Amino acid sequence: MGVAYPYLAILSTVIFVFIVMSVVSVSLWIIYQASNNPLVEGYSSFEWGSGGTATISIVFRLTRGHMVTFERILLSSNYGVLNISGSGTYVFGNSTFRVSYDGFDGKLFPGQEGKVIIEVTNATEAYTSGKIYRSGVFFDGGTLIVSFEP
Amino acid sequence: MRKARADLSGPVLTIIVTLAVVAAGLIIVGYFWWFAPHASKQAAISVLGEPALQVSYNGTIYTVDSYVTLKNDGNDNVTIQKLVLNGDDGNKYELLPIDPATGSTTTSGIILTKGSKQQITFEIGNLASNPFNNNPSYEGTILTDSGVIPVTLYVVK
Repeated sequence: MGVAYPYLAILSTVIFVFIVMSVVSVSLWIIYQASNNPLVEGYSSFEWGSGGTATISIVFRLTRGHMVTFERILLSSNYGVLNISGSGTYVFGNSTFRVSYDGFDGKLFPGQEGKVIIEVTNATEAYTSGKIYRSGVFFDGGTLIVSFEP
Repeated sequence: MRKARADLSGPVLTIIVTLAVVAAGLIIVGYFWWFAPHASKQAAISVLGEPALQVSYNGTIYTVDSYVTLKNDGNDNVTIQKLVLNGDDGNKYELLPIDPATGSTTTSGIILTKGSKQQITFEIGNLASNPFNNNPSYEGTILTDSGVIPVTLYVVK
């Protein structure tokens, strides 16, 4: 006994819709992947302290895409470029750079904001007022360039 | 007078229509899964973030490093060959990628597999002067075996 006409019509419709939806799903997935590249935005500030010290704050936020991992900062100064690979104390030139994290632990999730605070001793030698310094903040999903002016 | 019946019966017609619809669907799927990817196989490179340029000086020579994070959104591997920059002196400088395995520059390029992302360091050394000193950013071109990618590099200093 064969399958009646209405059931065959329904079957063919279901199969056709399934196939079309599969193709649409694949296309949407490709578009989703392409538009989901991480985007980190941020800024930096410089503040003079007492006794020739200064504090540099670098603030960044993952505004789009999957989680990214902080890798390092190339911090510019009058001594040259200091490679900061994590929190801790760095001696560079005649200054000491004390680095700490705030609001994140090395990983930045979508929408999360992180802050790196760099306390500099003998900052009057390390930085010159009125000069613009550009630094790079590196994540595994891209680089952020920030500038500050003492 | 009896009329000859030349029309197909309902069930037979339904089966034919069903087979035709399924065949059409399979052709569509085949096109997107097989023919389209192979007919338009290409690498789609995205530059993630803002590329950076760093000039180092050891007291004798200058070395220029560029850090660019690339993602291959396409469906084919791509070989990243070099980065070409215009210096302040009007000359073109070719920075070669550093092979992560050896830590030194390579002329054979870096392969960026489909779907992967990687921070690539381009380098040129033994420069007697700093050709990237006057501007905050420089326009460059990354050469690949799938075409060129324009980039803007910001000098860290």
